Amino acid sequence: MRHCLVYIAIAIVFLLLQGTFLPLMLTPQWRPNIILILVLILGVREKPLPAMMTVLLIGALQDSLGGTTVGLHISVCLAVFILTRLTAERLNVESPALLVLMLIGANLTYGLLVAFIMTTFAEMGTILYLLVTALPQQTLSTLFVFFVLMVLLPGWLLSGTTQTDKNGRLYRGEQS
Amino acid sequence: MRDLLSRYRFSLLAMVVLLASLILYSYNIRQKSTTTFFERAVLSVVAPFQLGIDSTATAVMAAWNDYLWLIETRRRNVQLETENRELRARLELLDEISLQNQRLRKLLAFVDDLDRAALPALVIGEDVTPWSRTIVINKGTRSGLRQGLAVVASEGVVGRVIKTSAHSSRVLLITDPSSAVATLVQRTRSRGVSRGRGDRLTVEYVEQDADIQKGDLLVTSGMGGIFPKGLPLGRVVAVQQDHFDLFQRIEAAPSADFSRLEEVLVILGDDR
Repeated sequence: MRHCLVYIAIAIVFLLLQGTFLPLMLTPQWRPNIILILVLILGVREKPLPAMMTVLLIGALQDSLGGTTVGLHISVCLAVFILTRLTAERLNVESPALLVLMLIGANLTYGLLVAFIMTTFAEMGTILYLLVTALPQQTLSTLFVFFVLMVLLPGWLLSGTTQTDKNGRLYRGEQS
Repeated sequence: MRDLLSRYRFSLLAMVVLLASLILYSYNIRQKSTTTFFERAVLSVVAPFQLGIDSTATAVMAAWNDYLWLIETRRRNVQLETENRELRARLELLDEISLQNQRLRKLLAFVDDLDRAALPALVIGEDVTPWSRTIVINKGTRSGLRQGLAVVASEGVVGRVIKTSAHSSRVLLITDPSSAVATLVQRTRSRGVSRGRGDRLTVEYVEQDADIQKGDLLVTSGMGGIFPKGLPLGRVVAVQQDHFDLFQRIEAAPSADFSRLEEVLVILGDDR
């Protein structure tokens, strides 16, 4: 519970950064999706149920501060979280390189899911143009933020990454 | 008598010399305009030494003050730097106030032209996602805002209020993909719908035979009930006509510069 509150607090700080500070320096295409890093970390190192609830809350926060309709980011964050969870169970997520690859994948998945949901449910074809032009830059800037966080907070991002077995129990490294 | 003189010789001599000096002093008071030989001699001998010592002392003091004893200089420097910073800050503040004044004057002129009640608001945030185009303003329901109100800047239409809280609101910009504004081409009065495309607008449903040229001004048509008629939306930057299509493909640049938006006006109510 305490972990979840910490994640929520960090998410609020990240969202405030994305909504106030970053727009002063970066064009929309180059703004990183810092929240995605949180979703990824939640997916690879926290217990499934509390992590999922936290992701839902983070998605709701993002919906409150961005976009036009509540539910879009909740759905997308949750989908990315589930995919991360499924992938993390089969991979050695303690490897920083793998985390980077997962982040790239998560970023692309996030964008594609937003495009899919918006074109399917809201019939907004023009979102595709925006996404296609913004996704590569956004992936790069998100990676940059991830590297900065890796340098500043290596303990938080790398060590202590855990996985869960089929019963939802957490284990570290190889499962015996 | 001789014994007495020898006994008080020093005292008597001292008194005589003192008396002599007083007499000399008294004499010189009367003769003050003249310089005695002694005085001239002393002055002549001492002058070079005085000059030398004075120069050396000045040089040493200057070196001490300029290179070694810099506490006072440092204190003064810190004081001047602080003063300089404060003055610069005040100057920048004055510049900022002056610019804000200019912008607000333009907004006020725009309100006068609009002839509707309008509420000024500050832009305090932007959308947290890169694919949506919304801004957050510092006025909410407490100031009388509600969903659907039009938001404009001095250059033209900004968007409409989509979410409100007590003290802030979110505004959907006309460049957001989910925004659609009923549009008129000012020169030809051709109708269309302007949709957001990130940084640009696309104007849809403009008939093939409509005369549209680059540089044409797009204004709101007043249909839909959100935006008053005749507000500038943008200028046409590209026109594409394909004979197999029903409508022209038109691209426009919005009138308002959304990257530099600081103050906006929320249009309240109907015509005065």
